[in-house]
Parts: sequence; C-alpha cells; structure tokens
Amino acid sequence: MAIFKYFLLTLLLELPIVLFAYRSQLGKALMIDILLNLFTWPLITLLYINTNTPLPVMEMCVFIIEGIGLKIFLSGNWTKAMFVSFLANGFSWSAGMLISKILPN
Amino acid sequence: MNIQKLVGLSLGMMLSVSLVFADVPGGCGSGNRERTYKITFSNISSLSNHVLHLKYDYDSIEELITKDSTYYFTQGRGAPLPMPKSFFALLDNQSTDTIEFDYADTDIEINFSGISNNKLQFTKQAKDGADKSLLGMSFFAIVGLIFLFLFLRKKAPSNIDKTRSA
Repeated sequence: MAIFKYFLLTLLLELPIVLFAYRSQLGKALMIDILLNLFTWPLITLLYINTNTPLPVMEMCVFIIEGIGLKIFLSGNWTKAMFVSFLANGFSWSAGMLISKILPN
Repeated sequence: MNIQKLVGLSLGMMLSVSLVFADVPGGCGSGNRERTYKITFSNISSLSNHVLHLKYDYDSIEELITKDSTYYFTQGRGAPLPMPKSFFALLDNQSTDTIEFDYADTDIEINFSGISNNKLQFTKQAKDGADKSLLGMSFFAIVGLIFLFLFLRKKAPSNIDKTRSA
C-alpha cells in the first residue's frame, strides 16, 4: 500500500543518525532501530489518521519510547539515547513537514 | 553548551515551529488539526473509456481519476481546505449521474463495477484494512523486541544488565 512508502522514508532519514551514533554496535543498532520504528510508526500513523491527537505530542511520545528502546538494547547512557532519538525523530518530522509544504497535494 | 541545554533549546524551537503553523490550511504541522479522512476508489478500469471526475467544494476544483487511488483529506480549523463533494464519469462530454458524498462518508472504499443506463454502478463500504495492517506491524515489532530482549538477556545476562545500569 502507498502509505508504507512513508515508513521507508522515515527509516531512510532516521537510520543514518542512529547508526552513526551507535557505530560501534552497527548490526545491533540497525536491527533495534528498525524494530523500534516498526513499533512506533504504525501507531503514530493510526493515531494521526483516526484521532485529533496533536502531532507534536505524538512525536514527543515516539522520541521518548525510541529513546528508552535505544537505552535498553544498546550500550550508552540515557542522555545519549534520548538525544539520538530526539535528533532522529526531529529530523524525520522536519523533513516530512518540509516535503508536505513543497510537494503539491 | 552542554547536551541537556541543547536538547531543551531544540525542544523549544520545535514547539515554536509548530505554533507558527497554528492557523494554516488544515492546521498542518500543528496541534490545531482536524481528523483526516480517506476515500479509496477501486476497480476504475471497469468504467472503460469514461473518465472519473472528483469534484471539490470551494474553488470548484475538479480532479481526474484514471487509476485506483486512495485520497486523504484533512479538514482545517483555519483557512478552509477543499473537501471532496461529489464524483461522476464523463465520456465525450456526456456525463453519468453525479454521486454526492455524505458527511458520514469517511474512510470509505468505492468499488466500481461499470456503467449502466448512464448511471455509475458501485458499492460503498467502510474501509479498515490499512488499520489492521498497521496494528499487525506494530504487534509484530513489539513481539520481536520482547523476544530479542529475552534472547540477549539469556545469551549474555551481564550485557543488558550492564547497559541498564550504565
């Protein structure tokens, strides 16, 4: 379905940031970040389409959940996990907003 | 500047950006957003040479639909966004009947079966297949993460425990 291309785009934008931050555990970081995005992306998409939940609130929940995931599975402290998650999700959200402004409906 | 200040500053900037978009059409990018509706047109090929037209309110926009497609529409609280109003098919300037959307027509699939006596033949049904796929994806991922957590813990208990206490 066409909607899943947005998932691939999200991965394409977020993975390089996470992989760079956790380059010493590349394979594990790749698997964990894909699974974390597979968990959060469908939920945020469902909420976005079916409810009035504000997008910034959803994005913040996603960055916190993914940050916790990175901390649990990968070596590094809380600050690093949260910062990397914030950066990756902030980047993909900003890119998404920019694309929706530039591309015609 | 330490990392906490950087995160705080970035968070503030992100919120400021979202407030700037508060009253644009559809409230795009901000919390000031209405629900998104989806309308799917399928089996368009059954209309043979007729071309399907989707008509919007405001601006009298008309869109031609030539292949099976799904459309997403977001209503705006700020400047009004064009919303789908009706659809009809056209062949050599001769139009079929025009079907108006109801206010209740949200998240629907319109499945065409042809044209008879210049009237569009179709069935209309509520669509939730994508929702189920999305939930399935999410469920699969959380099961994978739990499995991985248990596997890594069993394989090297100190690894995950060490990570957690770091």
